[in-house]
Amino acid sequence: MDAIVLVGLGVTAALLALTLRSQRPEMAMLLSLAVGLMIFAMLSGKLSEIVEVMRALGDTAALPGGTILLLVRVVGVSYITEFAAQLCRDAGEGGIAAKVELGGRLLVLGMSIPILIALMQMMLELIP
Amino acid sequence: MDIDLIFKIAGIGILVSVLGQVLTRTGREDMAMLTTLAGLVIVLLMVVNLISQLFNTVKSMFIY
Repeated sequence: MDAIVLVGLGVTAALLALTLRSQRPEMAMLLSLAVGLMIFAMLSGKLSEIVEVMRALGDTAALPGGTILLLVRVVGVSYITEFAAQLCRDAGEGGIAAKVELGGRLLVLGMSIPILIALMQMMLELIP
Repeated sequence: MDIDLIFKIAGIGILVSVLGQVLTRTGREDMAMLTTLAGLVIVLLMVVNLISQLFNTVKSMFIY
């Protein structure tokens, strides 16, 4: 049932955006932004369940430190940057989209530095 | 999730473009520009609420 609602929403929004694009391109962009946000709001329930399951798995596996928490955070950051980058590309601003993606990558890299360090130390201990 | 927001935005867009055409035909270019601006601001306000909702859900879900 949910798939049908999703598909219906997407198709109608695309059609409406098309009619708007000829006269009012900025309205069409706002329309696509609104649809993207609405679809995400519809999916947020399922997404939070998945995040809870991942956290439960992380606890059972007793991973060091907040690895799962960091993983979930990285997914959140990458989702938002991808959302914004695609929106900029829709509006015809490829340059801005590339900058947003670059920023997103740097953020993710910055967040995963501690894990890299922990990995390096683990490797050094293995080598006698 | 209220789906009718999309139809509201599309309706405003079409209305503004029609009004703009009518106003420009009758020689009132400035009024046409103002109506376009007004339509844009209304739609922006509606979308800004949705954006803040998105960021709150993402923040509460991904806890950062």
